[in-house]
Amino acid sequence: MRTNAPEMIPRLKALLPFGARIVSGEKKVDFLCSFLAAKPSTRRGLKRFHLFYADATEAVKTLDLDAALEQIEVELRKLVADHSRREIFVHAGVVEWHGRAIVIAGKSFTGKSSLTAAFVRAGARYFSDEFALIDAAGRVRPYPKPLSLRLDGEMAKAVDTPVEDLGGTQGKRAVEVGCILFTLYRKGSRWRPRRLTPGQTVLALLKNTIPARRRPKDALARLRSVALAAEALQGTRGEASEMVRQFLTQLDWEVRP
Amino acid sequence: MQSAVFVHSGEFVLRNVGSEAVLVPIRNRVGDLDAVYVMSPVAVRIWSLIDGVNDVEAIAARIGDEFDVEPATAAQDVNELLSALEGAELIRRA
Repeated sequence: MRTNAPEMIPRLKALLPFGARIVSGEKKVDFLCSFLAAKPSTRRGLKRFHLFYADATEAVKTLDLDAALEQIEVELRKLVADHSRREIFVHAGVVEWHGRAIVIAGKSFTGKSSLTAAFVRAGARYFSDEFALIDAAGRVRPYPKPLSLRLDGEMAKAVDTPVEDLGGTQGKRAVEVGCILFTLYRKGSRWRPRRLTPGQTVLALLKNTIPARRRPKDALARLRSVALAAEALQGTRGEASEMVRQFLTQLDWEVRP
Repeated sequence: MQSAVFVHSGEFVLRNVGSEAVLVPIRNRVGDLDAVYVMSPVAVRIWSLIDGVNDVEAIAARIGDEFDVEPATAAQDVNELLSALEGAELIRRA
């Protein structure tokens, strides 16, 4: 990662994804990210943009520095998610309940963070509100990041919320997937899900899997393991807390140590 | 179409998932997620019979026998699937 603005380095460091570490003296890199901070304009009417390149691709272009940094954080996460060899990244919230993972699959603005938070408030252990990291054994690993909660409605800016603020704890070890939920919020809706077949489950997960286009073979192999081991439910839901209460009441998993 | 013989075509990834299978076409070296198929057990069997030897009639007859369905129903199912797969360029006439 390089920049034309050394004063921005501490802020850029803070955007690096979970697991990142600073190295020095590397002459060969896999990916080169460049942040070009806009310099003050010397001509009236001339707009200078903050730019971010992921390799040769212009990924961010904006006049607002805060917006640029927010988008860079998202781009860096996407870069890691797309190129991770050890895990397959699936857009999903994840919690652990009695030794098994509940995966809430869905892209942004599908309500997965609020549903993840509701599970945490109900006593589940937090894994992630953004990605399910599926390892080679088909288990899901934690992706520790604060929850991004939109406190003032769906389109409001997301606020980073440590899991401890919700009274929860962060999961630390990989667990098997017990259940996968595909759900969208609909006001007044009641949780009456239908069960998906393993094939339908793989299809639904593929749509949320970051490297599915570039690495379909690997993605299919891991999603297959997950789909054969877990129950998958699809349906609309009403308020998150009510859905979680209903879901956990109906769940009959054995309590595992 | 009954005497036509088909073979698999193009690049794809096929993975069995229980009794079903998921088929992802590969276009320009990346998975085409807009054209993924979840194949039922019958579709999986039809896919396996597309081998450049069996014609459509023979495939329909095998499906009718193995899944205990009326010949007309089997022929319709086979024709529908083959048309869809041919349209998606996942099979071609041998």
